[in-house]
Amino acid sequence: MNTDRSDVNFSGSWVYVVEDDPSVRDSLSLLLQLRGFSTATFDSAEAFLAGDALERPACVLADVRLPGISGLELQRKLAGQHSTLPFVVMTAHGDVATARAALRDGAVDFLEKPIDEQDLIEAIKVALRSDHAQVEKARSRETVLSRMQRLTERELEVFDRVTSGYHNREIAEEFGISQRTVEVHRARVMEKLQARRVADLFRLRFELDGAPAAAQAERALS
Amino acid sequence: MSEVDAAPDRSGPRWLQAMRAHAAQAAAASAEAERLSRAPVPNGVQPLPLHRLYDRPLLLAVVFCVVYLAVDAGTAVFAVEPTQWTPWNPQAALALTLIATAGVRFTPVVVVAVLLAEIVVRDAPAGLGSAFSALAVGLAYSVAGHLVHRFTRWTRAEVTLRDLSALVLIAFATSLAVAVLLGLTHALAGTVSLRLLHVVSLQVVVGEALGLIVTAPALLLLASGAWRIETASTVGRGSLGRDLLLFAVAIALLLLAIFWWRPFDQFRMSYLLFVPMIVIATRHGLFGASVAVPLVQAGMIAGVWASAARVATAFEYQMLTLALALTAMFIGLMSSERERAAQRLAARERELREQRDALSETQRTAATAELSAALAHDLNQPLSAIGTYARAARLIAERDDADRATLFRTLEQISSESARAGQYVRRMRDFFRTGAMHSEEVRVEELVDRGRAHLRDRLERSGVVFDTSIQPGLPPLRTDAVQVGAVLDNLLGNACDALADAQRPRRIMVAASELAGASPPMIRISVQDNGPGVAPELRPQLFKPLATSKPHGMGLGLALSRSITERLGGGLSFDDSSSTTTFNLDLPTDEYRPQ
Repeated sequence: MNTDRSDVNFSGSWVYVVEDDPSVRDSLSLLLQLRGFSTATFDSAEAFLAGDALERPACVLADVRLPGISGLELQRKLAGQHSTLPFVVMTAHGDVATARAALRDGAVDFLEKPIDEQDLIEAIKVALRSDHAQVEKARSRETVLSRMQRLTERELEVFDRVTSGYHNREIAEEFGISQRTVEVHRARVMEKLQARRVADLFRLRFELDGAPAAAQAERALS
Repeated sequence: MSEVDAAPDRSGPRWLQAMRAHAAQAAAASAEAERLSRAPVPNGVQPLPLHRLYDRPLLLAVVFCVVYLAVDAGTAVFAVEPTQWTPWNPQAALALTLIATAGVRFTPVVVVAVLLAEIVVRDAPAGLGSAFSALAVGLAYSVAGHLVHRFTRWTRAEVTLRDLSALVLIAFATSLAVAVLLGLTHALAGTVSLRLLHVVSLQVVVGEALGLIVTAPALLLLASGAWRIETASTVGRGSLGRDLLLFAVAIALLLLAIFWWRPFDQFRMSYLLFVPMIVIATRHGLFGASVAVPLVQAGMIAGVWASAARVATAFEYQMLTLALALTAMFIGLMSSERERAAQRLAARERELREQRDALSETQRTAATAELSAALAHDLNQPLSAIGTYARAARLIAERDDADRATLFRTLEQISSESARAGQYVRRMRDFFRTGAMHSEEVRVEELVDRGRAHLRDRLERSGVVFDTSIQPGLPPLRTDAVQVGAVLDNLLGNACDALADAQRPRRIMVAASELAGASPPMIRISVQDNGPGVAPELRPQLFKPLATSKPHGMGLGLALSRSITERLGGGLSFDDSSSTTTFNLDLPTDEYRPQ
């Protein structure tokens, strides 16, 4: 199967199956496991919300109609909590309105029961790829932030001015120090942040400032 | 319609039979149309054998003259001496009927018949005077007949009050005209002294009018075939022939009592004649009265003649008969009209019922659509599981180190899921099949127990206490147990759903009791749960179609439950007054027969 090669990339990725029908839930879990995904199953949205310390990268495969909190509400709730967990929804009622609502709220895909395996795997992969990107970004951001911790107060100021486009001469004037001293600070900043070029500093600044926008842009591109 | 009745050849293939039948019908229709166009009777009246006579004007003229003379001779009793005029002139009605049914072209025939009668029956001199009086009288009859044909519906449609009144008016007008013409003739001829003229004229007026009023209705209806229209309104009231026979016997007995036995003064007793007259008029409408009145008249003449009463007495009896005839005719007319109104009302009701049936058919279609959506949803679940398990089984089998235990488990799942799908299909089929309701006797306890059994797993899982309070000695329901069971399952399922997140203790209470003051007698089964309740803003939506957002169960919804219940003659409602969530299911104990 042509998907086998890419399966390797997702091995160990989690799929959280939220479905109230035991047989549907069990069969999906079995199939996804055989396809190399790790799965966890929940019989209601409430049960899913109650479970904590969720592994990443992961995605949610939820039925639209669930007892209590519905699949769509769960999706909205998670979005409200700034969760970036990608969502794939499924339904036994192929109604357009529900599909549109789900997709508008950011669902990756909308699957109609009985579910076609190819569609399912495809949707899950898209969702997981998106989550992988999220996880990667979060990881690099965390690295950058921890490196930033090591900068002194003055070095942080210099980082800010440099990445705001000021020349060394202007920075020296502002702080009442020599251009030479500014250059030393800048070298320190680059060393501590493991940046080889000034352009790298700009990238870091962009990553820190425009995280949400960047994430969106990236997801749109993927 | 004999052409239609002629059985078509039944042999040969079906298409040939159909073709023959069609050809036979077309031929019959064209023959019928042709005959109707020739017949003097307008559409809507079925022709009688008598109408063959209308196709031969000469024969008709001869037959008319013979009958006219015979009737005149037969009724020439109590002729008032100077004018030879009789107190009863049914032949006038004959003339009027001929003109009304065969047309004014028969006027000369009428004139000739009158002249012949003058000469043959009354021994009038065959002179200019007789000719003139015959011409005058014949013309008067002819005009009357034409008026009847032109301005009333006696010969072609249902007779109304207006038609009857018009006939009575025409009869009196004709009589008056005849009386004046005859009076003038006799006065000019000097056969009647001027002093007596008004008395004689009065007798002529009454005699003529009586003859017309008593005989013309029956003759008009019979000759034109319109009597079929009249009797159509009294179908189902017993045979006219039998009733007329009974009537004749009653009249004969009364007449015997009046003229022969004579317990009182003979004239006073005669009011008893009204009784059978009214009975027959009420039972058989205008046509019954039309036929009965001449019978009474004939009996009366015979009675007066046999008891050798004086001419003056005959005149009294004339007046009585006139009153009797008018009363009977008008009562008969009212009876016919009432019956026709009742028939029209019944037809309208039938129409309305058909419309209502069509409407309920529409509702049934809507319910079926809803049911199909529910079926699609519920079938999709096991089908989806089967598909996914099958893919999984294939993946397992493809591996070299196939895990046989998992493979078997998966295959096992597939077969159990297909059984589940089959169960849904069976349940749905039960619904569709019982769309034609079949009712059986079922006890409420039994229904509730079945509902509880269906829910057992869910009740145990959610820790719901299931209580019942069924009034002892309830009569069994006569209803469709499968459909009621489905409705009850739906209500109990809803209660279970409502309790899924509720605080403990979770409790479902099913109560059943006779519904006080219900007609027809009903039993109320109420399903209560102590869940969080239905939000007030959702209550008006409860019974709307597709209001349900329940993920599982048959997804029948309250709307469908209600329409099923109503089809069974019951009702389903949400109890707004109760503090806990309560649905009331009312069902009839007697078999419900939708009207």
